[in-house]
Amino acid sequence: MLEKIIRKYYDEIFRYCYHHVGSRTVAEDLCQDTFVSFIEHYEGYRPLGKTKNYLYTIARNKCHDHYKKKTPLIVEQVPEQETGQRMEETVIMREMVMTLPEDFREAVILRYFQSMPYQDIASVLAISLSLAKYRVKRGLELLADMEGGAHGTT
Amino acid sequence: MGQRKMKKRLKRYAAACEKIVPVEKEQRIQEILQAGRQQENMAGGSFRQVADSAFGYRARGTVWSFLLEQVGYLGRYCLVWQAAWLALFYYMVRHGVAQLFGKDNGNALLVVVSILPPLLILLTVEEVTKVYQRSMLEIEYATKYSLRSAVMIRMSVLCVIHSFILMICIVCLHFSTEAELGRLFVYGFTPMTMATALLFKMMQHWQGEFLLRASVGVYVLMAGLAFVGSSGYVNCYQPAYFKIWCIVCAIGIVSVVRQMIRLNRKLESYEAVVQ
Repeated sequence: MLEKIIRKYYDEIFRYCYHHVGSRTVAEDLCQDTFVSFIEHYEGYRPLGKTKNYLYTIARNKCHDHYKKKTPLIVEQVPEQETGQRMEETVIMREMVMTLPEDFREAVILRYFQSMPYQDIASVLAISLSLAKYRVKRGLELLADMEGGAHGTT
Repeated sequence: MGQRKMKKRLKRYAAACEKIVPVEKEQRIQEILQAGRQQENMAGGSFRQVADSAFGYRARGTVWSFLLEQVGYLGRYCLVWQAAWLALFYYMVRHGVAQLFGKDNGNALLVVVSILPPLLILLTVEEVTKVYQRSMLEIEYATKYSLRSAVMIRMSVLCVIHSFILMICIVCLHFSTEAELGRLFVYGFTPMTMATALLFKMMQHWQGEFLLRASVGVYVLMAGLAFVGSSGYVNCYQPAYFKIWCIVCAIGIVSVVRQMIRLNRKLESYEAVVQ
């Protein structure tokens, strides 16, 4: 059963970590740490919400710890089969998201990269539903402003 | 750039990232499982045992130990509230229920006996909503006893505890006021059976926070209705209609059993989906 849970959520958690750290190897390390931590704390775990959200919360903390250790802006990998302008756009997009303030960045990643419903975002971030919606909206506004500013300066 | 365009770009980026797959997935999963096995050894049993302890019961324990640990699962605050409830009841009996309501003793007794059962269930409704989380099936499934058996056992334990407390209160009332025991039983258990049947019914349709709020609303309403019905504003919950309320009480008991069976079936179907 544990294996089932790991297999079911591994890719999703890996991708979430990847969005945070931008490196496939580091993301795999963080993803592994997340599941190991899940096992370690399983004994004291009380089932009050979705398992997925619980895993996301652990992964989020692991990414936070990673940020504390080193700068998050590593653009080591870009999606394969992406070339030229498309690749450049992808890198820019990632850099823009990473320059967002932490709270908004987290909300944007969960909403647009992980396609998570607002209710779950609120649960993972331990905030209210309305605040989750606000953070996503504000994050999007900031990104749009950033893009507008970048176009304005060039 | 507009927000709509930005949304599209973000989604495009997310779609591009879908192509990124972990290269060492299998190897990493094996390492995680290895860590899990080490955790087993540290806990002195199989992972299943470690998992089961999270739910308050042991996979290799007996049915009796499972039952006992379900009682232990009940939150401490729940027991504190029940103690407070009993203290309130004691206060009412000690100071004379008639004096509290300023009416004749028979009617005041009915008011107390009919209002308190829904409030008693209200104290533990959070425990019930906590255990009943459909999303937790995947973990519950890993244990020896399924979510279905855990929910049904916990509900039964709560039902037994409530009935026991109510019976003690009714017997105390009987000795302190010399009111007829049979009447006290009927007027006490009718709102309780109806509230319990309603809770089971709601559990079939709702869960989580919504279930909790709906249950609280229904129980407060039920206590209010019992008060209005027995306090003389609406003369329906009166000693004169005792036979009718006996029938209602019987219907309530049948409804509880019926709704419990239905809930059991519903949980069974969820399990089938998970499997």
